[in-house]
Amino acid sequence: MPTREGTFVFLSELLGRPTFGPAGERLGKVVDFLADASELAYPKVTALRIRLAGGEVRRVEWDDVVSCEPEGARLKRGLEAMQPLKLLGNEIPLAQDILDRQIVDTDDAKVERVNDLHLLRARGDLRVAHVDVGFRGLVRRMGWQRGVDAAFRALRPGAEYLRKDQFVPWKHVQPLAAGTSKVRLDLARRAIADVHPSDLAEILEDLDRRERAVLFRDLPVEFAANALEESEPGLQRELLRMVEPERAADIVEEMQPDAAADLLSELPAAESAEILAAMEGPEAREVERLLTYDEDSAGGMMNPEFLRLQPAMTAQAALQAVRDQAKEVAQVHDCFVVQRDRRLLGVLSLRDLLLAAPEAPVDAIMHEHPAPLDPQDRAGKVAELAAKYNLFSLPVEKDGRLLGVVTVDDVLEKVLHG
Amino acid sequence: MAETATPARGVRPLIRSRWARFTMVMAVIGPGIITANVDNDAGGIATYSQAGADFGYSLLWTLIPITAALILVQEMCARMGVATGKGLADLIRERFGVKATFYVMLALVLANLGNTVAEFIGVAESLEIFGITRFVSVPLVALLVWVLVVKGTARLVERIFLVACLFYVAYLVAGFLAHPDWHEVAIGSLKPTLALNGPALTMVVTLVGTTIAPWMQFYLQSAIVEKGVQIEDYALSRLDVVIGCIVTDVVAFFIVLACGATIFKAGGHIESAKDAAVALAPLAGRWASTLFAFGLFNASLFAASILPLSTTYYVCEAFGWESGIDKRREDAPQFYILYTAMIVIGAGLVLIPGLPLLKILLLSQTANGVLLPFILVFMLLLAGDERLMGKYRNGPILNAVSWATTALLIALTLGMLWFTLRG
Repeated sequence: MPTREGTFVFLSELLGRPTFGPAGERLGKVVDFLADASELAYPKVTALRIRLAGGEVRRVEWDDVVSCEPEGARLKRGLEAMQPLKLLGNEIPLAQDILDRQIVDTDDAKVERVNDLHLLRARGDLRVAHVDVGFRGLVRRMGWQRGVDAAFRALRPGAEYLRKDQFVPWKHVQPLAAGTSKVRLDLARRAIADVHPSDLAEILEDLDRRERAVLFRDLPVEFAANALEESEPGLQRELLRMVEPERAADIVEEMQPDAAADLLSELPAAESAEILAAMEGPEAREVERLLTYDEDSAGGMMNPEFLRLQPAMTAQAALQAVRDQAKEVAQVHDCFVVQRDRRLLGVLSLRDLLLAAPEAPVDAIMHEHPAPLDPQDRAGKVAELAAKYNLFSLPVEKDGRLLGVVTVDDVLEKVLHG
Repeated sequence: MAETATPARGVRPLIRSRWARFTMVMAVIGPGIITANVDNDAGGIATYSQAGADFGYSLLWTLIPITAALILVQEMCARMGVATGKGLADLIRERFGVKATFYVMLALVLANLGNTVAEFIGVAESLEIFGITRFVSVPLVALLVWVLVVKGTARLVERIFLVACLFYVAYLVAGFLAHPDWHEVAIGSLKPTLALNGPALTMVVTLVGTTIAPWMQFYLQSAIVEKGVQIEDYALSRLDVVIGCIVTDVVAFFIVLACGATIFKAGGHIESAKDAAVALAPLAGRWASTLFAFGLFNASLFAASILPLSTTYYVCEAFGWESGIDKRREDAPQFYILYTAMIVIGAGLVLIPGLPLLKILLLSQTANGVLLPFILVFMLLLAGDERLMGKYRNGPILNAVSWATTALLIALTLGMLWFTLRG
């Protein structure tokens, strides 16, 4: 096989090919390839599945394979090489779980359907290099590649069809078949970490339900929370139902409280109660308080976590306070100066703080907020006030005490999607 | 912790949950009713009219077993959609590979293109009764359908479709206006009689073929998946399917009735649904005729909005192309090209003078007929697959009944093919 070293072959060219023993006797047909998924970039084929003449399927280790080419597979031993079917923990059956299935391309953040697999011949091994998600792969599977290629060359030699194969490198492939091995999922999850939460939400939306479950169930909690915040209510409900209440609670805790309250209010009472009960005390109470407001009111939109400063602080101390709180707070544009009894004294922006002299006290820099809200104010009114005064965030007060802050992105969403 | 938290969360979730319950019902109901009603499209109305005009009430009884078979097949699709969360085209691709999928999709596109032509003929003929020429009505309707789907939102489209379902009441009213003899109707509905001759058998086979069409299975399953119906809500989804099937066949019943009470009694003969509407005027009054024509227009418009779109969806689903009206045109080129082509070709063929439209319809009916056995067998293999369906797979009794029904439907379909090809 030395002449073919370093060249590629497609899975579709190898499947269904005859298998021969050492004396050239015909043993059966190749029906699947098992690859070692614990290798991130170029997983090695570790075994074949062969269908014997009688119809039963057997496993043959790669060590027993002399060569595996479009002309057929040649084995070192005859029937004695045929072993009962089994699947090691890190093996993926390529034809069964990858071919024709949906995968996530973690580089382009897209859901694709696999038309073919591109395998590399390297030092006597066969390794998975790419999955083919392109039109040419479909044509090849139909057995028409020669004809269609010739037609394109004759009619449009510059066609994209001929120049660009749509291959996704295996390291960017997140397989999603239900039986996918743990190892592979753990490796690919590192790649998922680079996907933007709103792309991840879109991927979850595009996937079929089973694949969605496979992906969402094992996402790290903070990715799951971010993706959930970006998802449509119907999808949120479905996703949360896919996981155990404890994990659902962990995910909801990780979300911004206003988003969490919106989400829980979409669930049937029994389900949201179950999740609330499994959440940590303080987080649960915060979300519960938000739940008592209508979701289209200022109270329902507000976030109880915001930047708080004390009036006596210097600008320098205030900046440090912003740094300390920034991790827990959704937006750091506006800071709210409050007394111990949570009475709102004034607001100032981060920009004000940066421009102020370091020793200047906060109560000298702050100004009064032009449009504090009541928890019952409707989204439309909030939007009008924000537009009128060019505000980025608006405080919500009740009985003179600051309850939370509505930011303009929350209002936009309500006004646009009603 | 659970007890102390209860009072605080008591207020709103309760109010919310009643609303949530209603929206939940609305979130599940729809696909079954819409699918079944689209089934009474221009071709369906023509077939039912002809059954009534040529055979009076004598074939009414066949609608009962046809309804049962329709429920059986559609329930299976709904269950597959809910249990797997995947469309039928998807499942066929994953289980039977690219080649089988390609040929199924090719036949489906051809059959549905033929059906789309039939819908535009329905639009043309129904509006011609009101004196609007097809050279105005067909392009306008084609444009309307295209714009509705490309520019409208999924929620708006579904609402319009549900309203369109209500307009089928026109046929019930037309049936009453025809003043049928209810005693004879009861006999025709309950007493199975069938003359064993060519025309009668062909009629029965055509009735079955027009009621249980291949595209419905794809459409229903995708619509259910799209709605995200969960397995807990399956009972409601099944109810949706059963109600839809029954309502559809009640409408079919009244179409047969209206034509049976008038055209058959007067000894008339019709070739199309338009003939039926025209023939009704002197026999049952102008109102009945107008309602009949309006019903035809509504049904044709409705089906013309759904068939091209849904066909495009399955093809994209099967081949993994980006699809959906929420995608931009440059992101989903195959989707927009195929969708637009279906409408342009479907509407365009109706406008070409001298084209043998009847031959085209016959061809599409043949494509439907060839496709149905394959689809049914694929469906039964999938629905009985434990790895795929788990505990929601067909049980032994349901499986036996389904295979027997499928065998009967295949026999009837082959019969229809034989009759139609023989002329």
